[in-house]
Amino acid sequence: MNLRSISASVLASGLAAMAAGGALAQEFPSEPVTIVVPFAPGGSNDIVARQLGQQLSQMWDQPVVIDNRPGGGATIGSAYLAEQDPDGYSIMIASVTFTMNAAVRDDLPFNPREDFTPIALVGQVPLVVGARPDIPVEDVASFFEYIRGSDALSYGATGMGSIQHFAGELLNQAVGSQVQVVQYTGGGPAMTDVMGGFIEYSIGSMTQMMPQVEAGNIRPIALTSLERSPAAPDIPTLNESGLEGFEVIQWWAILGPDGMDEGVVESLNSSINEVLATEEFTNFLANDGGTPRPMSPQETADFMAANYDRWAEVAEQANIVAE
Amino acid sequence: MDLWANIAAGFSTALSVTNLSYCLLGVFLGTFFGALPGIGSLAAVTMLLPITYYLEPTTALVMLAGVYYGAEYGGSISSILLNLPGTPSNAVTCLDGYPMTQQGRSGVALFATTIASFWGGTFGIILLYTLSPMIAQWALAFGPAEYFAIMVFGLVAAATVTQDAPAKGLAMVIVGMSLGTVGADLTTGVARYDFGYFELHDGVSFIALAMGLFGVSEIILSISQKIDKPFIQAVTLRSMIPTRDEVRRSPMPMLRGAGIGAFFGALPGTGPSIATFIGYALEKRLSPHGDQFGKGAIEGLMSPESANNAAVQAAFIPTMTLGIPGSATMAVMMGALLIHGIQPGPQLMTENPDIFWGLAASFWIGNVLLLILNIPLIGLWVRLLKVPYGILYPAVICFICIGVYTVRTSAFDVGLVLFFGFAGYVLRLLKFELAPLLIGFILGPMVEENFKRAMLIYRGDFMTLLERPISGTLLGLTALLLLWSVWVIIRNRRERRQVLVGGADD
Repeated sequence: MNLRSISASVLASGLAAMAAGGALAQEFPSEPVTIVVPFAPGGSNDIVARQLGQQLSQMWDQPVVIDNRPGGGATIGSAYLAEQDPDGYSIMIASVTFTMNAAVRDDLPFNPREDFTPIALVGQVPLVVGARPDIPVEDVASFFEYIRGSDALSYGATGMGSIQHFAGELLNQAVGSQVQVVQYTGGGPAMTDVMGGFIEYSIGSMTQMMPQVEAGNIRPIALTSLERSPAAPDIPTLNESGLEGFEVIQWWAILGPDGMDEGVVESLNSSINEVLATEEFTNFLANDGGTPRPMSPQETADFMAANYDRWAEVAEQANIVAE
Repeated sequence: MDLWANIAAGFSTALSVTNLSYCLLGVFLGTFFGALPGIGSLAAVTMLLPITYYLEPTTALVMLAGVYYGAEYGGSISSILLNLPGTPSNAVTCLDGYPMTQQGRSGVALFATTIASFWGGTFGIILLYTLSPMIAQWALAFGPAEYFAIMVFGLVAAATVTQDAPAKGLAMVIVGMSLGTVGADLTTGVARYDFGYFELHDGVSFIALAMGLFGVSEIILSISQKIDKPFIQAVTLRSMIPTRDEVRRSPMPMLRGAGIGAFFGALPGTGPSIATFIGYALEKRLSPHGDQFGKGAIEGLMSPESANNAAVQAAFIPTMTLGIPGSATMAVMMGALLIHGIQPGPQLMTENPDIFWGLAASFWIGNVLLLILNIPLIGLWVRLLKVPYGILYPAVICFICIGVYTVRTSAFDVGLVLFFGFAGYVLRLLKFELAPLLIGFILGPMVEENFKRAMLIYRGDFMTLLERPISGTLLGLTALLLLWSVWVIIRNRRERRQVLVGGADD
């Protein structure tokens, strides 16, 4: 086989794939698509799903329905989706918490790894370690020293096995500190107690933290992503400050029920990635310091598998277990 | 920044044709949904949220806020007329509102609550205008220890909402607190008393509990008693005029109610329901007519209704100035702003002054609209009593189910509301008061969670609770309140004995 025939066959298969994709994309949403949000309206999952749904709806010229099914820490909505027809017309938004729940709870009415088809990753946003305004530290290094040097300190998180809890315990492990976790009903109340100086810090979303940072109510210590965020280029990362490889990010993925047709998965994946590439969606995520993260279905599946493994390991080491 | 210039700018935003129409639409829908028993502000705001995605952010919020405080306004209507609270925070209004209807004085009751609501709302708005940043900073001084102390104070104060049998009232508080423990524990993640139902992981739905106990049970009770059309009454303007004595007794409870409401509204995580209970309990203690409470005392209406609406308006203070929603309804409304890419927070006032001041102005305009809307409508509402119960009650049950379902999109909660309806019916037959149950349910989990947080933060040192100035003072006040209650009981006993002795002398 010479070079020309190789490139020709690559081209041909590429064209065939495009044609197949095109045909499916034309066929696929022939009726309204429902995105299940396993949380109440108004939260980050809901807002991301609505933005995505609105753009998909324009692209497909089909209505996209947002179906909020909150309760049981996303359990009820997820269990509902797992029971739907795997025809692509019922999909769900899931976040990093979905993979954390799997590590913490043994009472889920579904198998998170097996009962779902990973379709696409949407985007990611770093968390920020936000400390009380009068915390006696200069920089990240002295922050590590400060929390290592006392056993009377506390940090706030949003419930057993929440992303904030995982991030906090990972930080304790990495720094070698013993800061006590105190659980709150939400990121807002946890942040309020940081602002009031009752606890040292909480590791929360940039969406919630940045307005308080700008107002001087909260001292930003560091980001939990590997790289700095364009939304706050002055805030260092933990990764660059001595905790190499430290990464806890909030991400959102789109899942379907188990047993979906590969063609439909491909078609949904390419539509979603097309939305991710638009300026509108990029700007939407950038508002909160986030970035789109397009992936193929296989990459999404691998990414989620890696998350399941990682959080199971962290949960065991830090003893984060519902007992 | 000039306050007057901001207020003027705010009013010009709020008075634009679009915003004014949506404000009117919001308060009208709010009153309507609020008056339907079972559909409270949370359900109404959640239902209408998606519509506002297509509006300008200010307009969206003007409308949603209108729905919110409109629902709290409207909620008192069915409390008074049918003994069915329109929203959970109107449950207290039933206690004295419904007896007034039974006495043929529903016009007076509706008029009084409209005035009290208007004053409460206005008071909350004045605070929002003038003291927002200060109040927000002040709210930050409340940590877990302080919240714990204030909730304990609330429990002790509210235990006296009960009428004749203190032991039964306390028992109901305990039942309420026990129901509050259902669900996954925040700190350990362990599901408590969930009986294998995932639907119970987030706890018992407050709306299902309140609507079951107060709404469904009332309907069962009425059917079993076969009351037919008892309270047909005149709806003339004259029938709305309170007696001179009532007018004299009203202003102070209304003022105190507004203060209590504003206090609890401004504290994130508390809110209108607590405020109404505390307002009622306080008036019952202070009033020389304490024995008339529960039999149609005007104070029992003025204080909770004023507190309710003051709390609703004051709840916008932490939401708008700190970006911290004080309640589930507020969280939904913050979501409405986030959808439009606006982050509520400390910068909202400076970065989006049009939204902040426009919204603040629309609140007051909305309250005036409610006043104008409601007084002429009182006659219409009273005619509601003429609807045959055979039509009214099935409809009400439907609304309750819809309202309960909407809040958590959960069919399980619909079953729960019916269960609590039967439970409430049995408890009422046994002459148990239900209001203390509700207050125990609200305050119990808050006492527990904040106590746990305080103990974790202060590493198990009980003394910190007493040493911290705010929590120490509050706990001291609670102790005084307890002592005073005991003293009142002893004094009453002694008086009763003296009366008996005196009788023997004759």
